[in-house]
Amino acid sequence: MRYFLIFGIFFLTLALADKSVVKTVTINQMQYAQKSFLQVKEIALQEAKNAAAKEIYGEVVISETVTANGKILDDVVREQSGGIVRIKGEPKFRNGENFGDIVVTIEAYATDEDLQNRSVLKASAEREESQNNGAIKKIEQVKRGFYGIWSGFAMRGSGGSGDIMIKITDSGEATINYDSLHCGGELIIQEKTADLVKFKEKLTYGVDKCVDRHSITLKKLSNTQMLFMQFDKDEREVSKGTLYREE
Amino acid sequence: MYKLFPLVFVCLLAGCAISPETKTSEELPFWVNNPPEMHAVGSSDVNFQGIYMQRLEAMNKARSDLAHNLKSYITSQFEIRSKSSNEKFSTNVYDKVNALSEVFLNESYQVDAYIDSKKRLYLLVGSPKERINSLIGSKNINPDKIELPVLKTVPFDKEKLVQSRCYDSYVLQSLNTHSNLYQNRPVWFFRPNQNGVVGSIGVAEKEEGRNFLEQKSVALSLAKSSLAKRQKSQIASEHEALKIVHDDISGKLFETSSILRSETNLDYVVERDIWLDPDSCELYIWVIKK
Repeated sequence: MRYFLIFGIFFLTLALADKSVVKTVTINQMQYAQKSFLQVKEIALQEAKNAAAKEIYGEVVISETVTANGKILDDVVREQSGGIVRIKGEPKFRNGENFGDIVVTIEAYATDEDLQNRSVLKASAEREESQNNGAIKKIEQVKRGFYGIWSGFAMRGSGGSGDIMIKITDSGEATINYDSLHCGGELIIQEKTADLVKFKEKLTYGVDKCVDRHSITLKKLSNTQMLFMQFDKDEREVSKGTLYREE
Repeated sequence: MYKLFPLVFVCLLAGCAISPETKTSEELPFWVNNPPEMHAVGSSDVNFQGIYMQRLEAMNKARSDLAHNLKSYITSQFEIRSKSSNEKFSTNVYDKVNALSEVFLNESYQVDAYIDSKKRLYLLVGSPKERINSLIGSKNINPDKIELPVLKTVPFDKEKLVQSRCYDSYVLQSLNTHSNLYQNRPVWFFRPNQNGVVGSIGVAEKEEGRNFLEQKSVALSLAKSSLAKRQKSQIASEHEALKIVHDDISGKLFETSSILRSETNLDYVVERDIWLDPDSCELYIWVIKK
């Protein structure tokens, strides 16, 4: 009577199971040279359970790719799958076709209750918002790149040095001031990459004190430091220096 | 009609700024320079991080352009300043156009791909007619049926793979690629959605200290991620074109940014084919939705 009840409960449980799968996984012992035979068997069994869980509960794949100017800034992939997986009977182990192959077959199932209590979590609104902010910040960092106020000193090829202040607005407009030379003007953007920007200079004051229409190249060294290079119309370097972010 | 206006506008914007650079002497597939209606082409140069990143860049660019072609919000700012001082007259012009697009793109998939002689990768991305019509609320858009050229393929050469030093020979012997090769890669790298299957690919580089199974696991995850993005993606993308003129000096700037996000329940995905590049040791996996 007692055995009858045990078998009865066992078969009733299986009958109520909503989803069951048979999974066979093959792994090769040579891939795990450091592990013992028993450990490799355990790995094979774990892989079979994982495969069964993915099939029973499905898999949520979350991915996000952030690009700026055609370049990938960030690419994140997350996989989530889970829930209780029950094994019917004993796992069956055997040797595979190739030398060292261990093949395990399991019959796995999940009850109706297991399926309802699945542990795969949908992204919460809070997490989604924090992801949004993170991605936007990354783009802003790249966009910000050169924007701001920069100052420093440049050495001229002809001798002497002078202080420089460059202001670049987020709308793409830029100005330059050579305080010690009492001249300055506007910088018109010509080319921009993630770490380099080229301008054409147009002096608006002190034209009699400085040479107009030089080309300016700024090369980003860090978030707070960049290289300043000034070239004449024949692309010869006129002056060079380092600028630091003021703002 | 008003929904088509941004489309035309963005096409004009895109046409002057982001058309793929091509080599004139080389015969490229027809779709590179003339993508069919409601399709987009993305391209990317060789990436030192491997073919996966190169493909991802090209794919994202194509999807972003596709989103802009479907729906975008345009803002523009035009300013002209004229002034005279000391008998000199100067004119400054500032012209800025922003195009913002945020759409849920369902079923955007790779139709074809091509690698040119400079190793630049071109991807043709499309979306089914029904999806596009539901997205823009029109029944008039009828994407062209594309006749893709027949690819000249060669059979997979297992001997070459076994002779490579990617892994021990018993691992290499166990790898059987079923597909033929085109441009030294399996045909499904170029056409993962052939013959009605819903497929995608993942490519993982071989990393020092990691075994074949670990490399395969990464490739599989990337393939699933790619399949998830194919099924449903949220794309937020911005194109910004700036033109500044100061008298006789002018400058132009074109910047783009995009965030592509996907969260999909993949019911069951099966591995259809696998290929290990004997030269780079990159592992390619083709998965399909069952």
